[in-house]
Amino acid sequence: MDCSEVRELLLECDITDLQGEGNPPLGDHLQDCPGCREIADEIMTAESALNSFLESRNPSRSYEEVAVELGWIDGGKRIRFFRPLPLIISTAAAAILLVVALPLFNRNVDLPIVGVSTELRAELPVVQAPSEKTALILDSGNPDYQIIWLF
Amino acid sequence: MSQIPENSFEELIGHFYPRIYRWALVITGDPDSADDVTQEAVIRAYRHFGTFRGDSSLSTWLYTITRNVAVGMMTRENGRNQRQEQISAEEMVADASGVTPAESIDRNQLLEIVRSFFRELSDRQREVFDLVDLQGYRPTEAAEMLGIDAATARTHLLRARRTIRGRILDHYPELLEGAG
Repeated sequence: MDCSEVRELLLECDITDLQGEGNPPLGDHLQDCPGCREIADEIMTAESALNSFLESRNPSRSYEEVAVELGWIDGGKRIRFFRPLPLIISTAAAAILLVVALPLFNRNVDLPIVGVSTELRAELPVVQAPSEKTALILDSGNPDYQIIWLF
Repeated sequence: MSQIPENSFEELIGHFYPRIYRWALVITGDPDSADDVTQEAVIRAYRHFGTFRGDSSLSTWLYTITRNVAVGMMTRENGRNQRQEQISAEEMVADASGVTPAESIDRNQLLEIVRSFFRELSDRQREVFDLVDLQGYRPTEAAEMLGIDAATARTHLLRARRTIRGRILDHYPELLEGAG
């Protein structure tokens, strides 16, 4: 790889390549050629300066000022936001579980509890529980549906 | 990337606030517009936080909001090009007089790079370059944030690099002559 090829690559290559780490042929050339190494260094330095410039720009008002104006912070005390969505989701999940599970228990269906280390009934699926977990297989009575609970 | 706090919405937004401003600045190219976009994006994020489902990262979600606000604002202000003409790179650099960029970068060079960054790059090129090469996002993340496919993002990135790096090397003709 000669210097003209390297200079062409330097115009588009990734930062890791500029650092001589991503592309072995390029990295070898940069290590051996002070001129191309200097070009790569100048590109990295200039891009770092551009980033520093953008990072140095600050909004005219701090977040604290905006939050106070919006009523999110009052007299230095942070207001905790009530987020109803997680509560709604967990309530709905619990309700669905009750709707599905209660009829099974009310029917007094034989619900064999099968641990991974116990002998499994032939008609039940074999479940390999992850380490430190236990698998519970509930026979729903319907051969198309088995409930598997890992806990 | 710094670690994201796990607590309330306002702590999360406090954490992202400077980044939202930076995104807004890069998209609009104007500090005053970036101020307005940042505040509107924060309010919009608050209103819609319940709809954030975690399908994407919080950064992606906030970037999308910021971008939508910025684009809407620029459209209302009669288009981006008119506003871009008002950007003065000299003023921006002068305004950042407290900044000490890397020592080997002189003021004129930084001025030229900033000017290139804001004027010679297309909107998409500037955003992808900032997200990937300056802020350190992966190209696939940048593509998701911009709502474009990864190949398109890569194309914008390469063109942006060629423009910016070409401008940088314009200041070092002796290097180019000496190499090889």
